[in-house]
Amino acid sequence: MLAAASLSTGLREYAQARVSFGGSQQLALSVEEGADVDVIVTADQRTMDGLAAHGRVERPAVVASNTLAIAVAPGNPKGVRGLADLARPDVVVVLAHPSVPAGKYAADVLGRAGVQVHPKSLELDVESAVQKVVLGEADAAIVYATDARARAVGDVAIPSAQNIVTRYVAAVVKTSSHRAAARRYVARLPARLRAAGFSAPDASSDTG
Amino acid sequence: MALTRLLDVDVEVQAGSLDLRASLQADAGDVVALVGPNGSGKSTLLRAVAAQRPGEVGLVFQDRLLFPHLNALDNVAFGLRRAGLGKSEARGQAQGWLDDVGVGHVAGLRPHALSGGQAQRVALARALARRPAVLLLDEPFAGVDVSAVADVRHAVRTVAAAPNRVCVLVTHQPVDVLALATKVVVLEAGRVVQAGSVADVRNRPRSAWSARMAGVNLLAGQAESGGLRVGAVVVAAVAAAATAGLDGRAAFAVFHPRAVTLSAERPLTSARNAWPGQVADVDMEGDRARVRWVGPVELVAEVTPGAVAEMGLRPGLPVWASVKATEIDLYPA
Amino acid sequence: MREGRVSATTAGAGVWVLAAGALVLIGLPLAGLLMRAPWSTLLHDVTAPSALQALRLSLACSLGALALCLVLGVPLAWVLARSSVPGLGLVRAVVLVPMVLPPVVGGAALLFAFGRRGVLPLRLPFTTAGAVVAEAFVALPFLVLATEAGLLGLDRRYEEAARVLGAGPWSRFVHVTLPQVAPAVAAGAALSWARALGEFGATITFAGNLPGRTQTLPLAVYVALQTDRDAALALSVLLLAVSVAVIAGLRGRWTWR
Repeated sequence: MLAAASLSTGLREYAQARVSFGGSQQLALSVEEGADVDVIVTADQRTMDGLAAHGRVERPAVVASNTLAIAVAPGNPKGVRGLADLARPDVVVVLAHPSVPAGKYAADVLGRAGVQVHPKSLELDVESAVQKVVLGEADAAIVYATDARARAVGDVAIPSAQNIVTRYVAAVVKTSSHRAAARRYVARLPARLRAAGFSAPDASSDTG
Repeated sequence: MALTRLLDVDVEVQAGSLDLRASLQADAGDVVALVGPNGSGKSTLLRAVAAQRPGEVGLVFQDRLLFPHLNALDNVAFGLRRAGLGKSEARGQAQGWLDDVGVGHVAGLRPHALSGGQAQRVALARALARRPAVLLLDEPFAGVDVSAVADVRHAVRTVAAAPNRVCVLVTHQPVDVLALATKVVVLEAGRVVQAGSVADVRNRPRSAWSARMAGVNLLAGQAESGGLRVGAVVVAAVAAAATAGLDGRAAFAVFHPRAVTLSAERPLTSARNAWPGQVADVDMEGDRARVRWVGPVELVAEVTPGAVAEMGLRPGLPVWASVKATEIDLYPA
Repeated sequence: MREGRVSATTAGAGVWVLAAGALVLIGLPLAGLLMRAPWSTLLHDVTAPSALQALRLSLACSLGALALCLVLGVPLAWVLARSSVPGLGLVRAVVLVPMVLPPVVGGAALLFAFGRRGVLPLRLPFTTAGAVVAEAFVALPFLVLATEAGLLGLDRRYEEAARVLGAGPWSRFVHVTLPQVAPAVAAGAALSWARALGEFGATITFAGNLPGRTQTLPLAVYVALQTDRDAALALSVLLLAVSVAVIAGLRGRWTWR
């Protein structure tokens, strides 16, 4: 199984499946190239649509939703209170690269808030962006709310008016040799992710 | 003429099995042949002398050690550059030195393109370039093609004997000693066993090795009236003047192989030194034959090839050897 | 040399088969890359401003890393080859660590050393200098290994000859040791430069990924792979062409024999 990096907090413990985490685009590429995979879970609809259009996967289903938050260094030394603070020159900000869903969402959120940020780095997946904050190299990063909460970093909520609801989409890969089992696995994913702190598939930004 | 002592060094080196403790002295104009068996420490001694006075001593290594990344000219200019000369000045002088030793035409060649003889002379020029008061040559004719030895020997002869310089020459060839040297130092097992003029060492060698190089028989023993006790026999020597006052002291007896007579029967001559023994080895050298003989003493006899044929000399043949007492020189050890 | 060639051509068929296997292992993926490369749009893709920017940055960073490797690595190799300080075996093992360490771990280690909260906070992360350091970190062992081997193969009596001719320690190193070990240094430099040029993991972890500052060609390839696969393949071909051209150009030079 391949899963978006941001799902690692929710799926790590499920030993029944061997899970590889990565940037959604990277996962999609693996499936395109015929990697031996049963299930793929992407962090956005668009990537999955691409796979579906190429006939690589069965019908996709939304399995969970998430929102964005600002992960800040432990103790929030730079006093980040909201998106506007990310434009301050003394705050080192990293984002995920716009080519991965988290980066695209972050850009959307910043655009909607009208905040101009000069990130120091565009990390290749959202996990790396969180890592930079955990290690103290960055003061803040816009990441999934589940990541910001789960890791030992501070998290600053983004008001729902500026926030965005992201949806995780799962699908069974057509080349899978265990498609029945894979389908059952996908069917159980919403409850599991819910238990791990993700929002329900149909949640609006208010519940985030 | 007052002599200027240009070389006066004491060297102590422990290197592997070699325990070298030697001193070297030489005056301006001296050409010292440093001789001795393999492994006696000759090269080590030269290198130690050079190491004591970097930049002031010229050393030609046994395998020359021309810098492979520099051409002949820059090899020679190397020391001059280190002495602070500018590049063009150093190269100009270097060319002069190459010309002096007859290899000016190979200035632009890298060492790998030089013949042994050319490389040897380039190395010589390199050692000479800083005008050292002491020039050390480690087997300058080793690795040189037979046809080129004459050229190299000529070059060495040209530079070796200079009035304001000392040259020390390591060699295995008696001919080099005779042709080039004014003094000889014999090194054995890390110790100087003899130092003196060429005539001294030739006529009165003080070690088996020097005797072999001088081509003479040397017996070591204890002086008694009228001779030298060597093991069970007394070798009679007439040089009475020499024996006077030597009684009981360690001494050497030396005689030329030509002074040895071999005969099938006990000789009837007046020779007082006549011993039975046998031929150990026969070595033909042109118009002469050298016969190694073992009896109460060991010696070499020089006979004609005719005599070898006539007597049927071959290893194991029992023969008598006799030496006239008048042919034996006796001197204190 | 010639004897070596002769024995190689007369070696058993097994050797040829295995050699061909090695060539397939390296050559087939390369051929695959070239076959999939979008040749019609290649020129357009590799001359795009973002591609040229990444190429320029890659060249600058890899050459910077190489310079750093030479300045620090040659003296280190000299110490390893020539000194008899106790614990040198451990030092030699430590020098090799970047070769076996996963580059991402190397990048994290660099953060612990030179990051904001590092032992020696140099403010290198997210800077071009940081990318240079990350590349030098992974490239250094290649230079040190090759140079040390070269130094060990030298006849030290040449240095003695230089000393007799009045050359001091520095002069001996510069005028005798270095020119003679130059072929080994050049070989090591080519290896470490190539390693630096292709560096990905340590760079992304330590220096991040920002176009024009830390996004070197391998990072640009990775990013492009997520959005525009043809562009990614084009950039890969560019990276390949540059490295092959330089390494092929270096071969055979720097020898005095």
